[in-house]
Amino acid sequence: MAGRAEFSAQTLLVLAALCAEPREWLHGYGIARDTGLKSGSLYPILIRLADRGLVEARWEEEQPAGRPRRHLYRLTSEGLASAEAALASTPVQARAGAGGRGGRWVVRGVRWAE
Amino acid sequence: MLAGMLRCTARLLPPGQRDWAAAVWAEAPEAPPGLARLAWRAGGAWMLVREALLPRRIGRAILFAAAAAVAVWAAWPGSSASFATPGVRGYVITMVLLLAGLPLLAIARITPGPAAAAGAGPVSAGWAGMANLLITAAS
Repeated sequence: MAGRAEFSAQTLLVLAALCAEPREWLHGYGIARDTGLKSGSLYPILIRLADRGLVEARWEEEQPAGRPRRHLYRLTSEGLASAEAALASTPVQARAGAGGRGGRWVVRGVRWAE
Repeated sequence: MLAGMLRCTARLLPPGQRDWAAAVWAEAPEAPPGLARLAWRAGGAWMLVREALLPRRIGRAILFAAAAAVAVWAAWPGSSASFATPGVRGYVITMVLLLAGLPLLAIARITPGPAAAAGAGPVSAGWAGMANLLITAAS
């Protein structure tokens, strides 16, 4: 089982965002908005997570009007287990300095492991 | 221009990662027009450059080798007539070995992830040593 030490604070933010709605496919800009990460930080994290089999990605099936198709992401079952374990083992004091919007470990109103 | 650069750089990525370049581009219209959208695209371009051209280990190894070469070139005493020359050469060799060893020690001993921030200490000490070497050579 993955522990917190395997993930950086920014990666934990991304995992927390994906964990908030584990069955939903989220798009990159939404994750960036929720975590406060810039695209240059977010996408390398998503690439590493996908390489490790913790995140799966797909393109939107239908072409929406007025915008390009989005690339969508969600946790795999292994990713969900790893994320939950990592987030549960994250000490409160570490989360307080973890970053994200306002430096608080809150993603979409979910506070982890309290 | 940024769009063209992004597309060209994307071709340098391994085939399995090219979707990621397209993904960054596809998300750009979600960002508010103006600086935010430009920042999103610039971040994507930077990500591509990093992923395609500067795999971390290779980039760091090249950077280290270049810095070590400059330091040795600057600090290596040219004349062997002085009694201090062997000492200075020993200092240069020791410093370069130390600089090479500290990051390896940090990588081997410290867990990756947030704890790796603690590894910044030895690595920073190595770079401080490199700076010290250059300052000593210059004075």
